Amino acid sequence: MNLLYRAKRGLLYATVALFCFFSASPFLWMIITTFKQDRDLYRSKNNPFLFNDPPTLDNLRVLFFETKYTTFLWNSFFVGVVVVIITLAIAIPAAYSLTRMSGRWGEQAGIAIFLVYLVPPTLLFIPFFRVISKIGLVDSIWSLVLVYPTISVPFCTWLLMGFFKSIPIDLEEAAMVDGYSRLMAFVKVVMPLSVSGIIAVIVFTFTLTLHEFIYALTFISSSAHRTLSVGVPIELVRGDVFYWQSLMAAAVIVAIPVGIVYDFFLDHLVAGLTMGAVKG
Amino acid sequence: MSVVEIRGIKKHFGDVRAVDGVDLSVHKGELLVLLGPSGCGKTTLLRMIAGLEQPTGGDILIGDEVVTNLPPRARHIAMVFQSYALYPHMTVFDNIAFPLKARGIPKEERRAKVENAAGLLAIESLLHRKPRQLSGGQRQRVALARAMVRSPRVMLLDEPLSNLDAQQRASARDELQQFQRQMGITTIFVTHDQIEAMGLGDRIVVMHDGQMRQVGTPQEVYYDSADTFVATFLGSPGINLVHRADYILGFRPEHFLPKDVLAADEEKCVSFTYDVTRIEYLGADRLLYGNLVGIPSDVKTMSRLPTTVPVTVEAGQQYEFVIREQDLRFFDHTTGKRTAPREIGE
Repeated sequence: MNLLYRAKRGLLYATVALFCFFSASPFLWMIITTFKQDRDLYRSKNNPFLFNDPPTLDNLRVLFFETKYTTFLWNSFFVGVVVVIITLAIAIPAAYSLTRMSGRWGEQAGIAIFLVYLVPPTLLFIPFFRVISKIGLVDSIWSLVLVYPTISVPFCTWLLMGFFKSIPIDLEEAAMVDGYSRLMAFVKVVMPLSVSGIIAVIVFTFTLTLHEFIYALTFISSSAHRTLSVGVPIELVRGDVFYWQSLMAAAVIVAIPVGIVYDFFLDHLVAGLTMGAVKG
Repeated sequence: MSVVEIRGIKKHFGDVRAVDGVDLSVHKGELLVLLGPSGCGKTTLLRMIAGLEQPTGGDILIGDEVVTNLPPRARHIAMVFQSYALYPHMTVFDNIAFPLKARGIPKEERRAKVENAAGLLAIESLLHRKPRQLSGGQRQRVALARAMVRSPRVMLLDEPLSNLDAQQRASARDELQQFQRQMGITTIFVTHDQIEAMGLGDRIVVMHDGQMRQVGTPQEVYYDSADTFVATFLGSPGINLVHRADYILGFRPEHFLPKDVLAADEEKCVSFTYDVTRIEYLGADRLLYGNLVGIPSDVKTMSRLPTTVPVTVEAGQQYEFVIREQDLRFFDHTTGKRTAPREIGE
């Protein structure tokens, strides 16, 4: 019995270890590649996970001193934070009023709003470009700040509606009888109970701005205003030459901190996305 | 002096008249019960008093001040919801302190008041728990503590006992009444359970289809029901109604007894020949189902005969059953309203 139990546990841990390695190996590969010399990287007989020649820091030097990588980092971070704030400011009140105040129409409107999310950017970037050029924001990161919420707001509104619907209306009414206005009842009771949803919105929106490519490529033309998703490939793919080591470094430097931050919120995040899925 | 006064209050949801013209005044310190079947408008009426529902017409006064258009927070009332509506992210202490915080009461005073309220309801040991760690009965006490801690002008209770099991309910009823008497808080209690209503209420308001059918003490609504609805809704089983030519004769099953039991009293009685078709033994009582011979009726006439009365009754037999004249009730056969007593022609 004991033996069987141990065997089962052993198998379980072995499986987990396998999946951990499977998920981590791309990052490991990227990190190793970052420090490889050209000769080591391009010889196909070399093991890609080992240093056959001594490691070098030269690729990082190229990334930081021969490209505008730090500017891209800042631009992406700035756009991400501003878009998250805009999305929260619009999606929270929209979702709340759609769930609580408009009866049966709320649900229909919620679905209609969600459908907007399904219209692909490839279809929209040309008309959006006309709009952006009319208001004079071409080649400015503010064009991205303006356009990204068109993707994030519909999805996040729909996501949050599922959350607000799951909070019993009794709780808000109790707070209102207890001496609070509807707004304060919302802040003190509904918001703390939908933390998971709000975190899911933040993560979704920030990730979206980080990897969005088409708008960032078409609206921005000078490298000083580019974000990571466009700036890095443009600067590090010169003609048909790929600066693989620097490209890997650029990706892994962003991916790891973001991954660590998301991991802190993982439980909330899973609750957030699944709850929205079930109740939405 | 009336603490709450309701004048011609109405609430229509589209074509549905949830509450249709109710006038009511609630006296200081009393426990008033709103009783009626589901959908009769009792909860809607309570929610209008709380300010959670805006009336279609009429006025509500609390403490001589018209509050009809004031939001709930400006009414200085408390409400206990059917679900208790405890804030799941706060501890019991924070739940009870929540209404005090809204009023900007300083921290030290807040703590004293919360501890006092918790003491009264014997929940001091639970103050650091979260609502999900509490049993149904404990949640109810926390909800009550949160309601009374602010010394409200009126406390509104919306079926607060319906989430408890039958055993807890009896003791909760007792505690609730003691607590209400002790605090002297004017209380409006909504329920569909007549036992709760009869047991708790100083006065009972019986509602049906958005209208008030009768207001009175439990004794009044039970013995002197204003119409056939009130008479049949109260009592288990309800009153027997016998349709005669131009009136309805009503008598309670417990007043409809074998001749031998009542004849000794030498009071004026009306007698019927009773054809017993079925008997249920309910421990303390025997419940008889049968027909009055010579009086056709769709519904069985019932008698509630205490087991302590030493009379043998068997199904399939006919007996002489009597009712004292003072226990007979007469209702109009079209409106169902109570009418004056009359001679019973055979």
